[in-house]
Amino acid sequence: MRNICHYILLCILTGGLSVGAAAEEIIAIKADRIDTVTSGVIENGIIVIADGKIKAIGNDVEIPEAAEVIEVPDKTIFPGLVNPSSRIGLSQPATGGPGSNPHYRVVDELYPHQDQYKRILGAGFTTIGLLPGDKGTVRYISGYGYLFGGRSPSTGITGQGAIVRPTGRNPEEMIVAESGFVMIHFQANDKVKNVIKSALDSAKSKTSSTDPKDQPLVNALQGKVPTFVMCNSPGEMLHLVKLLEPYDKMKLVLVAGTETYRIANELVKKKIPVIITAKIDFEESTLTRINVPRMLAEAGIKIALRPESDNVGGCEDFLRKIAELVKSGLDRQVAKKAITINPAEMMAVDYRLGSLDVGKDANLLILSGDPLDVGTKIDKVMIEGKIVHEAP
Amino acid sequence: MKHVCSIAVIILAALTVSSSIAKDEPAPAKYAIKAGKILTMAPGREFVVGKGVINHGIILLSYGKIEALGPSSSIQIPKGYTVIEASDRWVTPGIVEAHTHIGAEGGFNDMVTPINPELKIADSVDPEDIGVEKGVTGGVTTINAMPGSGTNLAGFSVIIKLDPSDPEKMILREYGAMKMTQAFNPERRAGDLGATRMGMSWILRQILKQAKEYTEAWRAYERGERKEKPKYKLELEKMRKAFNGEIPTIVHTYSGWGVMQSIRMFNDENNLKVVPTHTAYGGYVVGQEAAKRNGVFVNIGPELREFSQPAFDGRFHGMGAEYQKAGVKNLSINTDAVDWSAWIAPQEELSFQASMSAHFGLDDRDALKGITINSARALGIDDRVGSLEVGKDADIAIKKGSLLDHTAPVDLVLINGKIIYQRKGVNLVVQKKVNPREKES
Amino acid sequence: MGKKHIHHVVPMLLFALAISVMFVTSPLSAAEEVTAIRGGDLYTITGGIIKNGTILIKDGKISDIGQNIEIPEKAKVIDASGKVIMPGLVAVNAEVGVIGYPDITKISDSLDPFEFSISLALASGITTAMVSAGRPPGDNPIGGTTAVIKTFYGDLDQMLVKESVVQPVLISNRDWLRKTTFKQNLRKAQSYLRKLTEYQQAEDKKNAEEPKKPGGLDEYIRLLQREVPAALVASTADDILAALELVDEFGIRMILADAVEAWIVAEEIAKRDVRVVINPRQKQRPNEDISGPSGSNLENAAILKKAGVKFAIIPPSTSFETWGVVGRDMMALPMEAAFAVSGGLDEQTALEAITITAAEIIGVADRVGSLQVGKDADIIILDGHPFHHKTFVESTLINGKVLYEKAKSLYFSHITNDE
Repeated sequence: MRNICHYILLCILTGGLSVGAAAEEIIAIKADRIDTVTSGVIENGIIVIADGKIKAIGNDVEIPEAAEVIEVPDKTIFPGLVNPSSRIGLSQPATGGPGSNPHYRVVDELYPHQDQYKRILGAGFTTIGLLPGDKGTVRYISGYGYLFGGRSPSTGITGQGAIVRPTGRNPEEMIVAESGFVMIHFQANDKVKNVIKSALDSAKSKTSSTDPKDQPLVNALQGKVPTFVMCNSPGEMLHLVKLLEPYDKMKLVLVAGTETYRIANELVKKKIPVIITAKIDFEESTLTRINVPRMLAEAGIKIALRPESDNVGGCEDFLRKIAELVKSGLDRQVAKKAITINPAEMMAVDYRLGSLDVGKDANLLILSGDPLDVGTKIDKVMIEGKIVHEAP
Repeated sequence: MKHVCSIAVIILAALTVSSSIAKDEPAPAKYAIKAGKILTMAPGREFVVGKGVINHGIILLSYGKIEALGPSSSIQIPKGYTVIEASDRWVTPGIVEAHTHIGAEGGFNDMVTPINPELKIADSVDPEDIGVEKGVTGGVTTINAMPGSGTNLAGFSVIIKLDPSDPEKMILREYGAMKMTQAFNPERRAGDLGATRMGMSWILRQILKQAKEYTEAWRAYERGERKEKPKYKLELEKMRKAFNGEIPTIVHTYSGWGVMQSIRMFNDENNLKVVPTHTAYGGYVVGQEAAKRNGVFVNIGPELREFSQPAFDGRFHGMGAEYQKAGVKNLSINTDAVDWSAWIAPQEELSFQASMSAHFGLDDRDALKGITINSARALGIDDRVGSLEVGKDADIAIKKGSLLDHTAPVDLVLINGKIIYQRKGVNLVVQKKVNPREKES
Repeated sequence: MGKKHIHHVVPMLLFALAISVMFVTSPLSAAEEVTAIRGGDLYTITGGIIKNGTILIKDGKISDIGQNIEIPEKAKVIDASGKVIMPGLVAVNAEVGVIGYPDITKISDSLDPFEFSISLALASGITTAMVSAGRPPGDNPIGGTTAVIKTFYGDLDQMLVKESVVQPVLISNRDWLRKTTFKQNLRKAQSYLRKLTEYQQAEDKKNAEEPKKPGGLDEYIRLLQREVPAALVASTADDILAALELVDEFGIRMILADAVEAWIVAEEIAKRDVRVVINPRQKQRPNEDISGPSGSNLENAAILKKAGVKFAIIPPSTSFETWGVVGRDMMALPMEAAFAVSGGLDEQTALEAITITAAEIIGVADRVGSLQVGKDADIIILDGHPFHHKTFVESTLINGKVLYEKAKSLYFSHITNDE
């Protein structure tokens, strides 16, 4: 008798667990507006989610019987936000350099149990690209002609960035891609250039390698993983582009500051996308406001936007800043892509996230209105079919 | 016999000649300057040809003063006047510097207390300061040597002529100006009161109030309106001069709020003639307020232009030009010279400061006034210097071309009618005939 | 001025326009174009002043100069009537265009065409400058590296002219350790070169042993082979004489920088054909402890000229400043030359000291520094004589391209000095 009770208890527990596990759930969400970003806005739409992925999406979608139906009639559904360039939740980076450390991996630094991750979830971020090296503050040139801001980063090839979800009880649960991209922190001087060049040349001769130092570079050289490059100033970017010219299969992504507009035509020519801070800046030495994301987008450059400050406050402020950019001329649809599908593409994870399309992860936000409208609140955040955040 | 006599005569003559050109013969007291162009800077007619500007003119100097000046046709050179031949040159008043730190030595910032109304720098005039010697080479003849800006009331400056030959006679006015500081430098010193602007304003208001009441008490007593003789306070005695209108108050101040504060506190509230000086970092935004008040005399330097602050429009704004635009008519320019270096304007480059003000949009005319008559007016010494007018001191600068032209150096400078400086290799003085046998030089 | 709206919209429009223009104008079509500057006085520096002259520019070079030159039909004409046209000014040492990291060993790898000072240089008429970087720590007398660059805003490829043109040497009489090291190393290098020559001239190469090149002496070998001059600071007459001794002993080429007291030993300098860089307004008090002349002298330049010494002029500060103190930094390079004139230097030599002679000292006189056919079209148009205090640069061209126009730039377009 006791054994049977235990057995039933076990079943209930495991059953309960399996019910709690998102993988087996089927969910159907009915909402007023579903903004897919890539395929337009669906009015009175339905999303069907199973195994954490979007199984169907549209107006006239059959809802499976076993589905748990979530009706949110006055809400908007939007893809979860993607921040491709952050060091949130990581410890202070190494300083010094230059060096070639492609075997350094951000995943080895991950520490999931942080309040920060919960809060940036609440701010709508479902995917983060974590960079090795510097926190991402960029120096700029003031009217006084000198550089200030930030700390001197480690330079050269600084490691492999990780693509994570800001949830999970252990690093494995966070990781979306453990070798998401190779990172170069660039400085315009011959030492840094030589370090990068010799590392790349040594890897170039190999088609594949088990050497942890070489394999990431081989992948980068073949374009199998993107290469993120961080430059302090547009002039430095010109040096970098020259340096990397012989390695023409590399998929470069520039992480940069607002001065980038000065080299816009070079970026267009080389088709290099840009990750740029979401803020309205000032034209050099003046109080004339310039909307650099808009300038780049209108020049034909693919942009991704990241928060002005790489911290919780910056993330919570993010959508408001995007709205400001749109108000001063950035195309609304471009803005939406710049915070979802574009960064996903830059990190080469667009096959699974960044938009609401069949087959992709069910990473989405349930909002009280359009994400770029003033006053819109995030009600719920879903990652791979599981609600990970609910507004109080 | 005859031979010996003639030799004796010759020797005697030679002795007479040598004695008459002996070094200790006093310099001629009378000069006649033949000028190619005279810029008199005379108020009201500074640049009108025929009045303020005289082409081909003559100036007569005697006993340290200007005796006469006018077109050559109108002036006869009397006998006994040594001629200075400057027919290919311009003649201007000696340059007047309203704000400098050369000419007096011994650490001009006494930082023990936040205010030092007892101190006067006249006690440490240093005729051997290199700035004195060099200033003259740039045509500067009168300077207001100031104590420093380390404290809110540094004391009293001294106005001196750059003629070191007689230290007693150097001082034009023992109490030049009352020196105050509205902002910035006193904030360097972390002390008790006075480390903040609020604190400084409080200190300044206190001392001004005391000095004002003291002055009024004495004035009432001297008029017979008050029976009781006011208690004599040494430290406030000197401030009476400012409150009696005898000397100006020079206030080291910056930015719009600072200049406005100076105008309000000194001119409006206390009826003091005030010279806001420096006024960089946006002072010119209150230029109109300065222009409205007769008692305010703006003095700019060593900074002469603004980029970023206050306009943040990506433009280089000439401070002089901006004040001119705002209607300021009495603008003067300084070097704020300290020591002798190339890194910041040395005393002799006051004319260069004027040129640079002109470069950034100030009228050439106003630039020249800014280093002559306007400085003199700001200091209240325009009865003596700052323009070439009959009765004024014979302080004169002579060079080829304008003071604003730096391809030509100053050739000759007179102070109090005495040649203080003549550039090496130049001799404009027409030597007198000493002996009928000698050729005229 | 209706500021608020216009400032908001215009920069964006201009930028969009600029972007589209950049697409439309391919580099090739620009090169085929001829530009003519006409109507002004051409201060050629090497060929006198041509009044009311014309310059033709083709492919970034000066293709013709003269008074009555035919201007091709399709030429872009810049009307410079009443203006002064000069070669772009040459700053023999300036802080511009380099991203300032301390450990630079090769300047061409650290040039930044968007560096803030470049815009100021263009507005001041300075088109060529020698820049230096990299002070090595410790007692190494070899002091870093230099490069000659053009202030070509926005185009990295057109910035570098030449690398390693001058070798800074950090020695002085007071620093005996460095000086001794310098001399010893020169002697070592000399000895090696002698052995190398012997070996190369040896008939019996099999038995001769090729001398091994000692490490760390490459710069010294270049100095001895007169590939580059040594540049050292020599402010006092004694320092200068000591430096000249090095020339006598080793036959190296030399530039005496910051040569405040050069006027005292001008003849000695002239004998060795070394070059000099001076700052006419430099102040140095006479040394009361020594007999004889000492200290700074505004006549420095004039005296050097008289003795036949070639020199360049720079202002007290070699950077481009935006602070309130005016006329003492690189933006006032012509003013500094004007002061040399007040010290008795003739105007022609003063102009040369900021153009052709400066170019010669830094090894680029074949390309810049004067208005001559075949030279780079680095040209400035001024609204008055360069030594007049109200003169502004109106246009600056490098390699035939207009990179600065006063009327279109924010810096000075609001200043109209009508006299």
